Amino acid sequence: MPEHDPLQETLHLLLRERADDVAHTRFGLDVVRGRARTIHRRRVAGATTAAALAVVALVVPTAMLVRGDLRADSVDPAGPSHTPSAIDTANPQPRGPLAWADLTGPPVIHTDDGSTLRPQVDGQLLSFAAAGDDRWLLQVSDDQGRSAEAVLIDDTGTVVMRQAMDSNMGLAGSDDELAVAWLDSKHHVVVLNRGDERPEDWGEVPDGSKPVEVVGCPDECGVVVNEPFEFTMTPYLVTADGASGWHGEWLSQVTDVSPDGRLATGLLPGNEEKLCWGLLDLERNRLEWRTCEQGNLTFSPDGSRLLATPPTTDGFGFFTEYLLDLDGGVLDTIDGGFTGQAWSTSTSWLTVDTASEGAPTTVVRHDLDGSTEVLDGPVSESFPFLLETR
Amino acid sequence: MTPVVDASARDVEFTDYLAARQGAMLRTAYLICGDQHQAEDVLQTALAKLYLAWDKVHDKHAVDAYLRRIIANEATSLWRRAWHRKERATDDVPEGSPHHDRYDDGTDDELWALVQSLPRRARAVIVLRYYEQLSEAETADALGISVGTVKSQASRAMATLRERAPAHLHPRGGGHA
Repeated sequence: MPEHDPLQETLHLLLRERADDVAHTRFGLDVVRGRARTIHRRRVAGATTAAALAVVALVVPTAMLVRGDLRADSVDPAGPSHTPSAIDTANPQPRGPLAWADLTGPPVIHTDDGSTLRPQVDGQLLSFAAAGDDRWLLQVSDDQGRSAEAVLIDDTGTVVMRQAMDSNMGLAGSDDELAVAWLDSKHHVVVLNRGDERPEDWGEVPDGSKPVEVVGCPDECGVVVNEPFEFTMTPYLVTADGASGWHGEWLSQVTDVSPDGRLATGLLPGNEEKLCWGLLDLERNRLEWRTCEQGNLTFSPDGSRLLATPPTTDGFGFFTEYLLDLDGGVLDTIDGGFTGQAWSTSTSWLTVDTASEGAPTTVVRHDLDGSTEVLDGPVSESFPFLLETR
Repeated sequence: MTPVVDASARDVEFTDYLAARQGAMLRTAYLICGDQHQAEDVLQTALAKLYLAWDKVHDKHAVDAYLRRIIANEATSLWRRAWHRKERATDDVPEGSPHHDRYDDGTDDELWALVQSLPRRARAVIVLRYYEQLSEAETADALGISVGTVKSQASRAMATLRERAPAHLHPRGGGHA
């Protein structure tokens, strides 16, 4: 510090005196661990909603499934290149409302028929997804948040399968409850099909990969995974036989795939200072539109609308939520403080609302007609509710 | 291969660090946040992130720098500022009991208010440079920004303070001329 500058000298003394006046609050290990659990849940939830382990419908033409072959000029932009797929014939059943978990004590899952399920597991629940036939796949971490297991429970909450998994990545569900997927502790994509008791190992992906969604099951299952690529991410499709495709020319990360597997949303490559999202037509390999005003675009269960947040948020904080049509037009907006948001039915979505971090929190259902209903809470816990992964 | 670390030994190590350093880190957080409650919240989050990453911090002599960086990032993060805006409708300087020290003529309260009116990032630069007395390079490392940015932020912040500070704090003692 230059000695001749009285302002700098005064500033130094001022800061020291002010710092000495601070009342000394001491945090014990238990308090730090508690906050660490909250942070870990947020990280996993963010990884689940913003990035994804997804099983993807194989409506992408076979030619696109060979890594490196998907090029903008390789597909007739106007051609009706629709390839018959499992999505066309599977006639997926509509899903019930979204479930949520109450984490204020031992986890309680509130299921779509209004009943509750108490998983017989220890540790903290980081994410959960429907595995079909009233079974649920849970991501459960130890108290320190250092390791995690994928735990399958039946309709009584009894554990029927468990396997070590990547503790930093969430689960990926399918829109039709036909499969769930995750990364095991060795970065292998693991898929559990509806009705199966043992998962299938679909092979290794690079460290740092994030699974997004499972589609195309049961006949042509695939998992969309955002893989680290040089200094960014690139989405790949991982299948049981090891085939994979990528959409690197359009999206740097896939956020969601439409229920019919024909459209995808995701982050566009570009300047990291300005995040922009786009809607990609997978069949035509064409970017339909882009926006730098909304991000984290997720499809409604019927694929007719999109739920969105501002592009820079990780889904936690005060911001505006957007309801968009498939052309990117804004249908509705909601302002508030949120720690979670996801489609429930084709005409409603759930949010976890809070006035501030640690303030009373509620689970709220929003309907397209503008009505709202508080489904749970308020409770004054940190991160008390967790929405189901779909 | 990641070495296997005994959990209880790790917790003992972390608890020792907590006992030794959290007071100093709370003071730094307070100077950046300007509010005791927010500083505690920032520190608690920073300590939790440090705890989650404890096994990866191989050089335990660098823990302070690592924690300082988390504190600075937390205090200036979009997420936290969003909550802050909601909790306090204005970005005004927080009202509190006036601070009185042995030399008090009101100057310190005025200067403290000016420091608190600086943008968060600039305030963090000022605190690290003039309280922690870090070098420009250390400040840049702590904040994850370039040395050039540290220089420009510090320069602008000091110019702002100089413009608004009482005249006798100006270089060459302008107020006392």
